[in-house]
Amino acid sequence: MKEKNIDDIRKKVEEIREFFKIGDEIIPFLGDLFVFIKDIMPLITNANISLHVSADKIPDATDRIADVSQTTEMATNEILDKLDSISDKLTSISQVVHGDPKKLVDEMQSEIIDITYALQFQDITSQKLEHANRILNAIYQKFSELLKSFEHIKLNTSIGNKIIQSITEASNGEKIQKQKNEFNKKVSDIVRENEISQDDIDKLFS
Amino acid sequence: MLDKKVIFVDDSLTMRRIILNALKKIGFNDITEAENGLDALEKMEKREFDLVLTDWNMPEMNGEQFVKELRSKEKYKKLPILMITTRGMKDDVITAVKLGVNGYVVKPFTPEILKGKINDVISKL
Repeated sequence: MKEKNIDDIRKKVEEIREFFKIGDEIIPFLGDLFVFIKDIMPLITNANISLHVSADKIPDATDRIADVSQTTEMATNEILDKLDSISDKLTSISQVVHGDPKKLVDEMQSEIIDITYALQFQDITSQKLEHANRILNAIYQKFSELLKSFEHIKLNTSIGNKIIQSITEASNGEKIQKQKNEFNKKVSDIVRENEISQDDIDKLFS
Repeated sequence: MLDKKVIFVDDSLTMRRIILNALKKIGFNDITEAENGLDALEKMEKREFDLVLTDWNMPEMNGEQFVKELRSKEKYKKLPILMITTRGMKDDVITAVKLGVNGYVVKPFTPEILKGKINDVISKL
């Protein structure tokens, strides 16, 4: 065997030895990385479920807020109608009475004005609700963007694809569906906590 | 004040009714309502007004855009404008002053405050 060939073989052996040396360092790191991914997967799956469920609830919440504004506006204007009607009647009475009764009627007129001005609360609360609605909509947009970003990760690498796929499958599993239902029930219970049905009211009076 | 023509702009039906009542009690007879800045501009094209009362937060065209639009036109440069709004932060008032409003009332207001501010705005001009 020529001396050059022996040198080549020695070089190759040295390269293989270096490769295994790097491998010795990389393998524990990869092991750690896989344990980390395994540990974090349930967390991401849960976060994904929470994101989906919370995002689904937002449009319903914003609709309810809009309903509140509309209902209070209608009620307030009914009160204003009645106040206008009472005020007109008092004006007619004021024209035919004198002395103490007239003073009394004028005082009542003044109180009606105070009530009318106090009804500004409806517009003020309505604007605050609208502000809250805008915040909720902004959160909904962010949630939607976040959910879309999962799809983006899926397209970038094959490992990303596999991870996202397993998260999606886990999110749609039977156990998770049960979790979603429990969450939805919990939300409904919290919402209904302070509600009382007409039957319950009637029982209280019986 | 009986001869002054006033237009007030507010998207809230409740506020429009309250302000309409207030303006009648103060002594205004010629009162026009508008639901937002755009609606007001259309009505102002058809006739002249001596006083504008406007809300800030409104759809279509808000109070800020509306006042900016008015002040950009020569014929509305000196028209008295009173802003009536829930926005009570210092920065909001500074913005309104820079826009060229002549008075600023924060909701909720009392009849006395509204009357006083309207008198202030009209007497300055």
